[in-house]
Amino acid sequence: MMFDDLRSSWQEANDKPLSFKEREQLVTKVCRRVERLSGSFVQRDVIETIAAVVVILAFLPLFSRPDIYVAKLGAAIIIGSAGFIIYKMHHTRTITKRPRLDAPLREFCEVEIERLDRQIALSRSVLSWYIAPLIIGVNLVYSGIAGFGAASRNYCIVTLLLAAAIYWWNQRAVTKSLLPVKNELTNLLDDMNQSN
Amino acid sequence: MSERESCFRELLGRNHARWRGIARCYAKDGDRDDLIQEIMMQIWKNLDRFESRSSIDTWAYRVALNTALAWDRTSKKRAKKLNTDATDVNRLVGDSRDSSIERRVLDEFLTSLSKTDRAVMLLFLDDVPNADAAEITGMTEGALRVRLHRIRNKFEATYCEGEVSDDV
Repeated sequence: MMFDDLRSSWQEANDKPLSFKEREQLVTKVCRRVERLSGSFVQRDVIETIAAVVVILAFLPLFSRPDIYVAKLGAAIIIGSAGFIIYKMHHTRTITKRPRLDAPLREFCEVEIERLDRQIALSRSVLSWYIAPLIIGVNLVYSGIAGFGAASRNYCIVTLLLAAAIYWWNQRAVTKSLLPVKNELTNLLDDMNQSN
Repeated sequence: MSERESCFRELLGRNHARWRGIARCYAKDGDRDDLIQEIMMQIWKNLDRFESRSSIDTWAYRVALNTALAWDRTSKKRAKKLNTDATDVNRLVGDSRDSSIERRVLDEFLTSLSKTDRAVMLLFLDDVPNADAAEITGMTEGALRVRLHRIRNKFEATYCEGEVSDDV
């Protein structure tokens, strides 16, 4: 078997002409998938916005109550951070360009690595922009209403454990999902660079 | 029928065999139809980005190849979730029902190549002109020739019992 013979063998194997019916079925399937996908993107934005509005509405009534300044401070932190979280996630999604699928392979890898770096940075700093403000906020609200007793201490322990779990889950996602993909892309890019 | 739809139909008619080949190269038997559909969906979605700088077939090949590589990365995750035998490289490509020795050898050889080499080999198998191949990969034509030469040598050393070609 010669190397050049592989071409005809390959093309013969793949070249099965599509009937009119098969082609129509494929086009219909593709159109449906595109519609479904665009729907799911809208859904994600809507869910995030609804979550932020719910948080704001849940904590806003605290401002009308007198003499709970600590709880009000906590509510302000929660409302502020809910807004900031939505902004940060939306901002990252919009400024971090997905690589153009019609870009040359090398450029595709470079942009994808850049995007992954941003995602990794976002997950690594999740404590400062997501977990800490919310945990501080809910604990201030709770202590502001229930007082600084044993109940507040227990509440604080539970929320800290929850925070640790969220932090651990984010770091695990970096190690298990994002970094392997980044390493693979870096290797692919290095491999391409070797021959240029 | 919209302009996009008619353009897509024409592309599909001309390039389906190539997309099928790309799917054969980067997805295992049971996943190939899904990958072909993913490729078609991405081409459909990106059609309005085509800027006529290259031929539309070359453009579609770029989209298809990038989609397949992205698919290949996520397929490992999918395989883990489904607890399938993803580590058996001989099952990643190739048709288990395909009895042709030549095709099986080719599938085995493709599996043995790195991702970059596999893409270069695929472009060779699909008869993509060198200039277009350079545009698709972002590598220079010279680099592609050198790489293909190495791939040829590797193939001949493995399967042709000493008949190694010298042309670059």
